[in-house]
Amino acid sequence: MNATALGKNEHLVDGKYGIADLVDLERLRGVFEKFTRATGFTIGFLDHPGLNILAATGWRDICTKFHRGCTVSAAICVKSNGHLLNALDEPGRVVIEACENGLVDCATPVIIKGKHIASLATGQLLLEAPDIERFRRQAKLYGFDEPAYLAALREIPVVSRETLRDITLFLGEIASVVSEMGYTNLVIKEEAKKLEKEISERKRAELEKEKLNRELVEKEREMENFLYVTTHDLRGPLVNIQGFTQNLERYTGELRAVLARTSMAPEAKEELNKLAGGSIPKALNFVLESSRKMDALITALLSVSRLGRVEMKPETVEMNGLMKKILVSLRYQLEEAGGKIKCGSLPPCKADPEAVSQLFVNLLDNAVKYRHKDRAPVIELSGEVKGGRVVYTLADNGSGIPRGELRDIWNVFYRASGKKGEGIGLPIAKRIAEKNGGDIRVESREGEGSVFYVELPAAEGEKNGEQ
Amino acid sequence: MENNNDGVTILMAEDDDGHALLVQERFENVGVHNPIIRFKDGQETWDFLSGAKPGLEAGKGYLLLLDIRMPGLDGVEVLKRVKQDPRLKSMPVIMLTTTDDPREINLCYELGCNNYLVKPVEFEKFAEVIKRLGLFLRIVKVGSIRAE
Repeated sequence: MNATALGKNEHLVDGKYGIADLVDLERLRGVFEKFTRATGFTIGFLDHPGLNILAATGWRDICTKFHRGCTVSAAICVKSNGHLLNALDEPGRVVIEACENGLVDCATPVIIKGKHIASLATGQLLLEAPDIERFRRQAKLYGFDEPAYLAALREIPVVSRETLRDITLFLGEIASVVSEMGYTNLVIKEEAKKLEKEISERKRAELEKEKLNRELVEKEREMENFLYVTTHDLRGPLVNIQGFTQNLERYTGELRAVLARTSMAPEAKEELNKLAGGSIPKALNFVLESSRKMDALITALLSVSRLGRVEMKPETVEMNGLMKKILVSLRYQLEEAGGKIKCGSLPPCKADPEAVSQLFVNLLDNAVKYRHKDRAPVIELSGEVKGGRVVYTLADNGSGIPRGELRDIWNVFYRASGKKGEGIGLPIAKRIAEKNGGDIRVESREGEGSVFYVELPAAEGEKNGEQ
Repeated sequence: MENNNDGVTILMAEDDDGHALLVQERFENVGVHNPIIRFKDGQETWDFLSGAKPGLEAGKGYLLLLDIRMPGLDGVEVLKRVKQDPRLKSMPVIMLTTTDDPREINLCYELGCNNYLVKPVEFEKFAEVIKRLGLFLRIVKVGSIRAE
């Protein structure tokens, strides 16, 4: 392309394609040659606005040997060409113009996406018999061999304006169609390249995501291992604190016994009794109570870390049977609280039976533990299958959870205000549900009760709405 | 050959001095007064058992108490070696642990330990466990180490 002469690319299709990018010039030349052989019409195919000749077939001697052979007349050729081709401004337009050297040319533009990127010209012919005198003058002016020049002139056919116009339009349309197809091709190729890039980027993102997931799992494992080791190691010193505090308690008792049977000054005895019977046991009691609390926390931590390490082994869980067993194990607690459990039919699920058992024990345990102080606990259990999942509903009439604490209850060691316990029952229940591909949600009204929804994968073959 | 419990020597592998003292005291409190030889880690224990140092006396009964978590050679590894050694494998082994973590307990049972003891948390609880252990000691026929 020679169009860079304009300095900018605004004459190019999409700001970047010239005619040479759009068409296979070699093939187009072949087509033009065949056309010229069959019809005798000359063809000139020029880029625009560079006016470089890209294809030229059947050009007449009068043009090639005479007009273009002399610098002065050739300059006139180029000037005429420019005038003709620059007049082409819209698709389908045909301009027929006499060139300043006495012949007639005809041209039509190739316009792609509004850009005039090439021109198709025919011509080097006459619309009527030539004015021989004019050509004689030209022969003299440019120094041509007059007989030869006139002989070349005789070769020039005289055609009708209509024929010239139709032929030019026909060729122009061919050039346009070829160019348009070329353009479409290019755009498709570019889109494909863009898509390819997008796909490979997406693939990379996916790989990155996989990698991050793997790292996350690895970190989680590390974290659980850390938790496990830490809790074990915390237990070591605690055993000593508890063990030796118990020893001290016993020694203090022994000390009191010795004191009781020893005679000494009453003030000294009173003082020692105060220490051995009051201050020391009181202090030891604080140490023991605190270490017990710490022990309970470590036990809780251990059970959380244990859950992280235990692999879930999903199988079909017959919930009706499982719940019966759970309720039997909770019977004492329940009777003591004067509570009642209404259990509907529960569809089977696919999960780790031991873990699911623990999940429901934790929830039922909470329902009994956190009952309303003014009424006996009533717990209702039901379940239904929804799109491959079982949703078990556990509704109680307990003290409920304040709205502001609803989110925190799933955090390890969180305890609802004024509640006892280690604060791990619900977090463990949630982790169990999640590890089995399910989830837990809760709705609660303070003072009225809570409803827990436990979602787990349904057992195979369970259909919607089946009870 | 003495096969009654009174002749049994308790071998205790325990790296924590406090734990060792507590266990020993608790044993004494419930009336188990058998001689106790204490080792400070797994290696020392294994050296004694494997005869790298003058250790087991032929014809004598032993009971091995193994702390699970010890630096270097841990209790699980010592248990493995004991159970793989034809000379030692009949010796009763009781694992000492700070938790009742099922993973550890199951592993130890798989490796052939006879019982486990969660380290003293509550005095009364521990005493009860040792009493049960006493029962166990009477039931299990404590094997003697055969002379080589």
